[in-house]
Amino acid sequence: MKFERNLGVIDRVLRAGISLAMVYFGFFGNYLITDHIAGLILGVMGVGSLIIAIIGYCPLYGLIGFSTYTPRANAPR
Amino acid sequence: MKLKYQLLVNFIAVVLMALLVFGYNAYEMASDSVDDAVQTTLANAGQLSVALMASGPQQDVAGAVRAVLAANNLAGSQTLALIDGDGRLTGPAPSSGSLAGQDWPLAEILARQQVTGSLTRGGRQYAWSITPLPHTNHRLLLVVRPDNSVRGGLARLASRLSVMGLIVVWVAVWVALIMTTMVSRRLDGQTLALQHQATHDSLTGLPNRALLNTRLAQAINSADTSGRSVSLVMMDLDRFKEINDTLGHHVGDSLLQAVGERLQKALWGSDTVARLGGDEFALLLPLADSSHTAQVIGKVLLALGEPFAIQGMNLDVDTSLGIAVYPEDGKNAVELISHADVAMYQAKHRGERYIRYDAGQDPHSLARLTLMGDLRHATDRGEISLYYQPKIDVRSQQVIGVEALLRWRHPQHGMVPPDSFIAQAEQTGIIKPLTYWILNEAIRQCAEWNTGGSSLSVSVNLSARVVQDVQLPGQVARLLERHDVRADQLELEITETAIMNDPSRAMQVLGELDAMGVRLSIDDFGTGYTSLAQLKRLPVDEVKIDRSFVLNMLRDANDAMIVRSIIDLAHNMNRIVVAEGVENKKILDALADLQCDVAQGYFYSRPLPAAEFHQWYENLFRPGQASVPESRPGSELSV
Repeated sequence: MKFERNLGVIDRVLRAGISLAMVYFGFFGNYLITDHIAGLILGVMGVGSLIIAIIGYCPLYGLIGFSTYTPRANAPR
Repeated sequence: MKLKYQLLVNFIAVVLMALLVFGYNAYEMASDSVDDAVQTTLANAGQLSVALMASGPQQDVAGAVRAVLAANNLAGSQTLALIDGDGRLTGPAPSSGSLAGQDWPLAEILARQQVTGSLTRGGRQYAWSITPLPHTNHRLLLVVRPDNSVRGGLARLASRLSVMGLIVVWVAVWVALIMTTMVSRRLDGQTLALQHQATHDSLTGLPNRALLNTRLAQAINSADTSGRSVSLVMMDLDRFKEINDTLGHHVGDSLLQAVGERLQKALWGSDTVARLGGDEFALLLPLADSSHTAQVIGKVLLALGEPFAIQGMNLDVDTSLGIAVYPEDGKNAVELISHADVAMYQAKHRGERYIRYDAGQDPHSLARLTLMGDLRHATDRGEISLYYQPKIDVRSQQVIGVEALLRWRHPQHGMVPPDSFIAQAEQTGIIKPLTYWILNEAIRQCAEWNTGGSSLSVSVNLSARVVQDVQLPGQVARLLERHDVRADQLELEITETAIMNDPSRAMQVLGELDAMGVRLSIDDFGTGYTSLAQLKRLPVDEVKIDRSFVLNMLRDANDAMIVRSIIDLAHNMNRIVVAEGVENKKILDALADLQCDVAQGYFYSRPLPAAEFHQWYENLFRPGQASVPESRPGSELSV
């Protein structure tokens, strides 16, 4: 599967923030998610989201051909 | 896209609603089970305490109880008390820690007589368990007032539900998007197919007229910017209708398909072949220069020259191609198409394989149409006049008559040669009023000369359309009467082809004219398609040999033979022969030898306006001596 960038900057920042929160509340902080298994699942999903945010490609976006990425370095010929 | 989002939103809404309903039910279930969990915990705690107490007074029972409670999310105040054999509270159990508050409903708990249970007093929940102590009839009472037992157990449930909800939503989005992508892909496929259907011909798969127009407009645009030309070629298959009618539509369709395939193969990628319907095709060559166009046409003719093998038959196909190039042959797409069409029809009628549009030949060009408009008014404005060329009897060298020829002095164009407007006048029908004008003027002139003393006959040329006019004899009669001219002074010259268009009608008209006494003559004899049988029946008095034979008769033995044959033929049928194109004395002598009756040509005079002619006739012409007022090099003018 080719990794074509389709996440814009804001998109990636939001995703990273949310995935970090997910990882934290899933694995570490016990007060929001008190069930262990639920915490595990949440943590794993958070990690996955984080990976997606890092590589800049969301397979869901790729499926529907949606992109929030606007290449700025496109000089007219 | 809109459809996709709609589906997605709907899907998620449904999922959330399901989540809500399911969550509420789960909550209800959970509430019940939480109580059971509490009871079990307390029972465990109680048993643990008893075990500890039995194993020694130093054990931290209270601590153990707290630990068990905490492990099960059952934090809160607790108290351990002993119940004696009579069912009365005796005080805190050993090592139980602090005594609970006095307002705990301990009496009520005792009154309930339940081993475990829970009750709510004053807004707080109290849960207890009673465990028997071994070797005594005392029992251990453990009462717990949990801080947030409900919340604790349900917090776990809530965590599970929310995470599950997250997963469900995640899956739902995936499924929704996959489904909508599938649906929209199918829709896109259908749209594409529809588009293709709208822009392409269904039989051959070639672009249709609409697509051709679009691409033509594009090509013209880019030609404007790049400065190159666009070539448009219109073609159709000769006699295709016959093939369709005799061999059937299936064969015709297969043939069209095969033609389409070959055309496509003959063309480059940037060029377009289109089928406009029926057996008409068009080739669009954008960015074409003349060599490329020629190449393509060559390839096309080569490709279509090979016979087609259709359903076991070998069919030969002929085509006519009409070429129009932008910007020379048209200012816009519409003009280009129509001019290419005109060129194609010209190619068809002339039997050529391909013809490039020539504005000078286009009968519908603006220039020609305006010319016709001008012609209409030319008679009113006196721009039209008649010139006269004498016809001389060969033996007596006397002028027996004149041929009246049309001359048009156009205000802008000057003298317009009749060749360039007679044909179109015939097509548009202007020839009729024009001819009547000529007849009137010629007869009038004849009358004028009559009063001057000379007695000359006047010949007027009639075109095919006029010859078919059944009112012609009546009109002629009126004109003769009006100017008081004898019928036999008027001669009407008609070409062979004019008669052959509709021989029976022509016969009727000519018969009436002949009956009136008007003389008739066949003009340009030898160049048309006369049937000798018809000729014998026609009431013509005179046959005029076409000038092409006369001019060459001294150089070409064949032409001389033809001239002789026509003279003999005409004489055998009792007609008079007139030779047109007598340029010099030698020809005249040769004709005299062949017994030709009348001569007409430059040797005597070129066509002159009425006044000049009369001068020539009166002053310069004497029997036996002929002269030309002005020597004019070159060949004769016709008409």
